[in-house]
Amino acid sequence: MLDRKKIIDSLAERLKIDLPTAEHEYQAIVDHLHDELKANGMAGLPGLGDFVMFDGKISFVPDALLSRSINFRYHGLDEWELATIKTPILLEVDSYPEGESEPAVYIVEDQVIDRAPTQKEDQKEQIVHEVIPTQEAIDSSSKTKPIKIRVTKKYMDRGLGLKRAFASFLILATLLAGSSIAWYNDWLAGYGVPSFFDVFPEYATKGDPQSITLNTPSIQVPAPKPEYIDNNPDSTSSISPIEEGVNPELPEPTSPMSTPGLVGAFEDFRRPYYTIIAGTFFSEEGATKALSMAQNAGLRSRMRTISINGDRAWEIHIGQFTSREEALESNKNLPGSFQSNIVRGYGLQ
Amino acid sequence: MKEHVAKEIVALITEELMKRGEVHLESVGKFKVVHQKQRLCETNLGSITMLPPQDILDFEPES
Repeated sequence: MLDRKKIIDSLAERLKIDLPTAEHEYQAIVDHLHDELKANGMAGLPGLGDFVMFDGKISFVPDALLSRSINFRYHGLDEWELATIKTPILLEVDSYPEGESEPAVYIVEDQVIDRAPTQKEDQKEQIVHEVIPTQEAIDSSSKTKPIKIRVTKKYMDRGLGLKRAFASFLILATLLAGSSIAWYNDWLAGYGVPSFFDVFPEYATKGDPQSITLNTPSIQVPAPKPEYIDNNPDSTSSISPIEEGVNPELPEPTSPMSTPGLVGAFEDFRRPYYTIIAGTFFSEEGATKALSMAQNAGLRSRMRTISINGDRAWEIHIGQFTSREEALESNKNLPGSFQSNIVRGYGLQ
Repeated sequence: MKEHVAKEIVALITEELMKRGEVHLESVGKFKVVHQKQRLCETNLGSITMLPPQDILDFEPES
């Protein structure tokens, strides 16, 4: 904290005066402030601000320069208008009628609008603004001085609101009717009375007696298939290889690869190895692009076709390693777009 | 009151406050900088505005 002692020390150092003189100068300033406050109820230091005595308490109004200096970290940040609930229109004019301290305000109308006004409404609004001034305002502005006019206007499309409410009601009523019929059907069944579906079999559906077929056709949209699959080790999807590109005439490998690593050309991938699964794609084009990117980066990579829940997909393998730990360690050296925490072993017993 | 001394004192106070320190001016009060987070406010014109964060001066008068 900057207190009396530190201020005096700094003053002595900066003004190149001895400590008693610095103390005397400082005390003179403080006394001056105190006396001014007592005598006039107000005192100030240029660049610091003004002290005002009010109800026996001192309040402080900082100088604009001081406020700006303190707020230097956030200086220049503007307010950001996120939304407008009402749509006020403010017509700014430079000067006011003589004798008026406040601008004349005219409230034109009190419509409620919930949308941007159309071009027609804009034109209508302009006309309304020109017509409205009151007699009092005309009298006060008779000296051809411009008047500041504030127009508050709210819009709401009542027709659109009613349509929305009706649609909501219709959906709610349909749901209620459906559940009521199902409940009534169960209740009747408890008493051995023919159910609604016995009387009206055309409404019954096969397999699920609780459900009701409505006249509206139902459309089943298959879930979109992502082009890229996030390799999650906990995933329950069944993944199986489709093709390995292995020539059956080649002799079976007997030893692990000779030079494991992240770069170079992929060695015989029938040999046991661990690899980083950089990505899995449902699109061969996407996988090919990823593979060429990896190969252009000089990475030891290959593409492997697999089947996920019966769908064909393509994995990108990067690197050949003799252990999982080695693969995970090398993963850290990969460019960000190829990094993955999925490491799998192939051809291992 | 000597102007150059007053100027130097103001400079000392400003520097200390810019470092987010506190200043105690005898028989007047304490100054400190308070951070105000960004916040939403609804203006009387009906718009919702995001006000930026700012550092403001807090003055505690000496009792």
